[in-house]
Amino acid sequence: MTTLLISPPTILAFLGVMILLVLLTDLFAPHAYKIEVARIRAHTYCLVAMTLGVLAIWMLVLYPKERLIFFEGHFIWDALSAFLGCITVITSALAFTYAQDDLSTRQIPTNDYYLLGLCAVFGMLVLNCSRSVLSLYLGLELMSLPLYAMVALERHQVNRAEAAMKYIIGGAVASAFFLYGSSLIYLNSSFVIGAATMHMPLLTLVGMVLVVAAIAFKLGVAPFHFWVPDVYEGAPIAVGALIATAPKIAVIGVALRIFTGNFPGLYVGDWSHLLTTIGLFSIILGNLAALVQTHIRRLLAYSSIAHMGYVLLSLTIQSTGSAIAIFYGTSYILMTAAAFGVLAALQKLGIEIESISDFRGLGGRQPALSFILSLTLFSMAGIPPFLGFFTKLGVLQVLLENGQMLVAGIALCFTTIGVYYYVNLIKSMYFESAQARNAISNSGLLSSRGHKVVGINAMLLLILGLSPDCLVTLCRKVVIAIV
Amino acid sequence: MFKFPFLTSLLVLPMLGSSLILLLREERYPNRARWTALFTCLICMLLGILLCQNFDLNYAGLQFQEDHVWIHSWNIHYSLGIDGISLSLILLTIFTTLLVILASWHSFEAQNQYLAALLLVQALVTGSFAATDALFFYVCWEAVLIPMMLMIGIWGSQQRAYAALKFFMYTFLGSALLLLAFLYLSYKAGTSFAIVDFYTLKLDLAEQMLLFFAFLLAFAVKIPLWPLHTWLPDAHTEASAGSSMILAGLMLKLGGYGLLRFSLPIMPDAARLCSGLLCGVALVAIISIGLTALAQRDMKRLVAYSSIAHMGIVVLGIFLIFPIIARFPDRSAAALMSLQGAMVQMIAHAFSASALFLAIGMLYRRFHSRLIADYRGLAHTTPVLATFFMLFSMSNLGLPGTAGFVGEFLVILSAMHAHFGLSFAAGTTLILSAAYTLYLYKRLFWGKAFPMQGLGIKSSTSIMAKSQNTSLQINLPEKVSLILLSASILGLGIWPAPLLSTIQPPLAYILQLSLHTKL
Repeated sequence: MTTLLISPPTILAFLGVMILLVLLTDLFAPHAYKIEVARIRAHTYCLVAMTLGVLAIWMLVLYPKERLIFFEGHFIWDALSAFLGCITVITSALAFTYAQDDLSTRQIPTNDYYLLGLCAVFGMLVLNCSRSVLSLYLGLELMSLPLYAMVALERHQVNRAEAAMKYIIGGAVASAFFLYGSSLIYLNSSFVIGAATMHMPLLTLVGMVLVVAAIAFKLGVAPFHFWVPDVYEGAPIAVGALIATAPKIAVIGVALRIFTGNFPGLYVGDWSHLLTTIGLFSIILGNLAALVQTHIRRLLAYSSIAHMGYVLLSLTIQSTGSAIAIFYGTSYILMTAAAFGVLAALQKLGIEIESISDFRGLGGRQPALSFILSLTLFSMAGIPPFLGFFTKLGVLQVLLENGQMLVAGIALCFTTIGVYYYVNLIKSMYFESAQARNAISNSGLLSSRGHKVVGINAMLLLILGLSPDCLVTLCRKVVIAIV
Repeated sequence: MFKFPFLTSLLVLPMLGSSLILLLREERYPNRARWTALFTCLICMLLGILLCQNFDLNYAGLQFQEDHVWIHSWNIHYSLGIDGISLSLILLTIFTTLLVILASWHSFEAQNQYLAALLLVQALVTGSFAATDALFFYVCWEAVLIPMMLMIGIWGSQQRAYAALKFFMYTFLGSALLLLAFLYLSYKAGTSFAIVDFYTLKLDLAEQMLLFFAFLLAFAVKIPLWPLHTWLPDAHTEASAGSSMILAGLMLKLGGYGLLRFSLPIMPDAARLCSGLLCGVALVAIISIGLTALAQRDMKRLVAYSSIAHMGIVVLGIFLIFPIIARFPDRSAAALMSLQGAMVQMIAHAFSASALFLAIGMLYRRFHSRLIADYRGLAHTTPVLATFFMLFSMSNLGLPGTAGFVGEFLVILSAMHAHFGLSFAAGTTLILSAAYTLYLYKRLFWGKAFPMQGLGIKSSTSIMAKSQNTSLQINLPEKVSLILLSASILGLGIWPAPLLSTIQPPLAYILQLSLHTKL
């Protein structure tokens, strides 16, 4: 009985049932009760939030002591799955909460949004538990397809459709890479991760390179990053908030399972060079390209490319590095969620923020939200005592311990250059005067639910920055459990 | 036995005050924030005095030590401890903050957020001076940039955004490699970030050179050492009077402190090899920046350049020890004197530069111009300010009996042991600073007053004409801060012995470490 309760199938089945329920509310509720749209929205949100809350508590309570393997070895339930599952669910809940603010100002069918969003969460949970290439592929597609559709939800706008097309085509190519790569690997081994073969033929190597390319695409690191800026810019804030957060940590989990030395016959040593190259390239390109961006979400996109480069760098180091990769990923999505939350909150207040110049004088007009955003930006820039600093510290320290002095130096230099664009936003908010277009003033109080949540989210960056120990220790424990 | 955590309270108290001020409602109780800030600062001052009383002057090591594990995963400790150097700089920090609170009491910038940022700066600078864990030092050192940048950028004048960004980027880029250097040192020392452990670390010459330049970049930007000084004139010019006082009085000292605390004892051989270069750079700073100061038309810019020149003396004093010992291996007393001179010069410069910025801020608040050409004959209209300004100028140019004299004299005197040419070149600072300071004074205060209360600004005469007589008076908080500054300038100038004896044991220890080769 307990095995059944904590098994991923049960958790996933529960989520599936809830998805059906959301679908049903959408189908029947408006006709049956004839209540207005706003209340339907609120009800759906409550249902979704409750679902995610139950999932998170479920996974926390039944945190596995040992690894459990299901379905002929295709699925695994261990500390890593539970931890990543919790983080995925919590950040999706954050994204959904912020989405409320944005959705209320747009003509997006709310239920469609939440339905697709929950489907994507379903895919991410499958990813977190997958142990074989087949289940990985299943998870990746389950996660990506709803996201493609979500980008195009506001379909009367051309740029949304454009972003969605780019995302789908790029994503399809990545999937093809993944499938072809895994079939090549299958030639010499089994589908199951961890079944090592004695020797490594050339075909397996080619297959692994293709798999790495697919994962790099999903993570959005250079040179597979071209979809990131377009999708971030083209998607509505509500959708961007989801795409930029939870899928990243889910894919980092996948990368961790593949790269931590238990994929067939391949060890980190074999590809640490590949990962280091991609990672450094990502950091350099992301930071340099972000310097010249004028659109805020494009800027966040390039910043995400740079941050994901750091994650790849830490993945090149065994076990200690893996822990730091999860720590980095978790912290990064907390920061990104806060940034998107502020954008959504401003959207709700009628302040449309598109270009950097829209931030001018925001500090005077929206003191609370500006304060929250500046906390987030300082954290992203990696300035102590915020969380972002300690994530960078972790990566640099792991690199140094393994003698990667030069890599650490290059990464640090470009990150420092990258600080400019974050501080430039602060400068626009506080040191420049407002434009007439956006001159709406606000008492500075945090009114809606989204505002309060984003406030807590940003304070978390400071609190976790002052005591990062708990999160790092947790990540280390999770990684020790899987190795 | 329970020991009162003096240093922690000096760190936490301003932070508490700062958060309290942010919670106060400015519209209803405009004065409450000021009183809170003043009160917080006075309690810190009291704690500082208690600290002095319990301080053992003859002990070179760290006192009032506190040590707790902060981040277990990386073995980062929250550990504090002070020696004579830290003690004097911490007292300077509290004193400068007090002056800024008083000086900006009635000015536009005494808003809640400004005072909160100010107290935050005080806490973080205190943290930097008291930290004995390298990573904790780094956290304070970087975090202080945030409130400082906001203070320059929000409450500055027209070009403030540019100046604030330049300040931030310069100092941040400078200290990026510092983090890598700390991580490397801790890796060598077996994951310990304690500064004391770094002192005994064996490092070969290549490592020392790389680390030395990583450290030097960070500290040289902060000091600021020519040619990395270009952020300072902009930051000083655009910042408000209070922020300029903080910049000159505290920010620049962080750089000098870093050289003494980290560069010399950890990388003694690299420091010895580079000492010639650094002495040369310092002399270039002293002479060329002194000449640059002569040509300034903006008075804040002039004082900023004079700051750079005076901090050049500090760098010279710190690196002079190697040429002295190279020439006369037995004259470590002269080398110690040079270090003492550098340290005294840091404190003295904090006094005289803050004093000048305070006085200029008072002028700016009344006449809204920083251009020297807009003023003439102020001595007729503001005789009290003219008197104080004269004293501050004298300290800036190093007149015997004022604070400015002691440090410069000690450094120039010990330079004589190294080489006559060095001493001669350093001595030009006295002439140059006399030239630009007196030239400034002459243009501002002497001559025939402009018909309009000594004011020659054509554009704003009509605005100024309305409230001339009342605004020319110096109010009580300003008067108190002027008197406090004058007293400290004269006190340090006439009787520097307490300061010298406080800093002597730790400086002797640093000297001993830096003359002991690690190879």
